[in-house]
Amino acid sequence: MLIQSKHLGLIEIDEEKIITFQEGIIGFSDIHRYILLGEEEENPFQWLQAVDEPNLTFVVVPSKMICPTYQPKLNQDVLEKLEIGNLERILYYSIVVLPEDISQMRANLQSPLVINLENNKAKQVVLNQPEYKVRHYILQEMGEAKNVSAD
Amino acid sequence: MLVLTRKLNQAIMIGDSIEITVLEVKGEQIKIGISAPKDISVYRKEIYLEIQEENKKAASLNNLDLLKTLKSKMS
Repeated sequence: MLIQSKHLGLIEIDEEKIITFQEGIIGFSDIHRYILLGEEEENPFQWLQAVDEPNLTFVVVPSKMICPTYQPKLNQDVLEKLEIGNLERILYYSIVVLPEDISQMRANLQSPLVINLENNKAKQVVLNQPEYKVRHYILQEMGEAKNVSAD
Repeated sequence: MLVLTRKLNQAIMIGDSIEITVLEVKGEQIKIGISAPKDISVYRKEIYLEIQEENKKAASLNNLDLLKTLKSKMS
């Protein structure tokens, strides 16, 4: 099907790849269908484009890119809602805020977008793990990671 | 909404496994203890509002040029 996207204009998408957020994304509860765009090998950042709302798009990044040891604990409610049978088939994406001042760029690890690849059902989950925060400043954390590996 | 009045150290049960206890009352602040199974998420309501605000910012700030700059910076 053809959709209008914010950054790539009119594009053809595969309907089977549409991701459904039954409850929407927090703050956007009435928008349910999204598609991931802009996958490139060297660039982990992608867009999550609303299928029915051309102007609504989020920059997202696999949460593991920000935190390689990322291990969210999903509760039973989430497992049931997304009909998760196999944890290996789950993707975690973090929404990125990308301000003009790039040093303030941050990703949300506390409430990842949990996507079940088996059925493309998804939900923005709020984790109860204090190590994962709403704002992880990406460049700072990557810098720190580099410093650690240089030592 | 169900409204219950409780005194210090009194508790409320929700189902068989969630217990909410009033631990301390000090002026405007009330300390509440929650014991619940591990698979139940417990968080302050403000966190929702914070996430909502952050999501709205994310949706309004996702300039394509910035993303390109970032990409060149990282590679």
